[in-house]
Amino acid sequence: MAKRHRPRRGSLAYSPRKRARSETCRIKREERVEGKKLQGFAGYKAGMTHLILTDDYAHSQTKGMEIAVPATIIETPPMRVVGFRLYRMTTYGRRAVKEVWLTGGAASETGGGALSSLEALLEKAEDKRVFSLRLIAATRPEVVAALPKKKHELMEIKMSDTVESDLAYAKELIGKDLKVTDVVKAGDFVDVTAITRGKGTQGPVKRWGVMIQNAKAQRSGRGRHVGAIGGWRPRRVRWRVPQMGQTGYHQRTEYNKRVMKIGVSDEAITPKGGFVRYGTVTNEYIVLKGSVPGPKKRLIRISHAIRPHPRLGVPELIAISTRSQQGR
Amino acid sequence: MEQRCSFCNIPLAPGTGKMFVRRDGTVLYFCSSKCERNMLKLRRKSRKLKWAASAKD
Repeated sequence: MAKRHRPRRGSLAYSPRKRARSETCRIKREERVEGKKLQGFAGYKAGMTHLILTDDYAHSQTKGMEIAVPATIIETPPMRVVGFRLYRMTTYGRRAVKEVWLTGGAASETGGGALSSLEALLEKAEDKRVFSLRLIAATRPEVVAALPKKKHELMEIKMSDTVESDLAYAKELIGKDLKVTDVVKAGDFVDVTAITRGKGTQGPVKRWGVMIQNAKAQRSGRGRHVGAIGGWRPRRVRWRVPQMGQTGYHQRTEYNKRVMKIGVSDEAITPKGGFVRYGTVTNEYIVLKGSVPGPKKRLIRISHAIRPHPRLGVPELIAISTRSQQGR
Repeated sequence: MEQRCSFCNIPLAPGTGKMFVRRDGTVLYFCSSKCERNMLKLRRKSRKLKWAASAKD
């Protein structure tokens, strides 16, 4: 019996809370950031550290002072562009119409006349605005020292110019390596998408945040459950009732992470003794302010920020902590 | 200004450690929760402890 009114525990916004379909997360948004040729990139989470920097937020109490800021390091080896795909906007949504794949190793070898038929289709089209192009790129986990896996993760990267200029850029890129510096620069704001840490089957207290029953109710031997899961009728448990089940391993997006630094491969970022459960960063990396969903070694996708964010310049880093993360 | 742990006296790296202000206004710095617990909860004297005394200077 609820005696007081209070908001329900846990958000229903992410229902059903089940495992993500794939560890290679998909960026489902339709919004594109204007003026950016490529909408995203991908990397692997290496770990966290802290930066010492000069605070440059205009209304901050510590403006101009040296502050310590937590940061996440994402290792971003170059991605390989293996193809591109043409989409047409129809009354039923966006539909893929043509795709061009790299067949051989050489940069310009594209399979079986696909490129010419794609160009012919675009040539014929009266309104080119219904078309959009997406790059098909593969991550290269084999060049990351910390990752045991060798299988490439294939993903689409949206492009956001006119189709003609996108196509010209895609033709230039196909078969080549795409670097993180081609997509973001220091001081940019990005959104990060990843699959969160999996926690397995958990009870309603951890999964939904319901209260643990107190005092005498605990003597029944069951304290960590909801008091009532519904009425006699309807004679079923409704889906809104907090119950046990899969927790974690969901796809989540966090918005507005500031890119503090983009580092090249020979710059030392790895703390003494390596990142715990990761090891050494051997490739290019980006440093994001704050945290990122998912455990270490997880694939992280970054894309340009679509929500309003402050317009700030390149942050003035004073130091990056490379202190050992094991023991004192 | 370089801070040192109020218990074991090792220098604190910038951006790490904890500042603790007593009710009388005394400011203490701790490098770890181990030092904090030893000083505040367990009320130990660092000079009597081998591991803390050895880290002096």
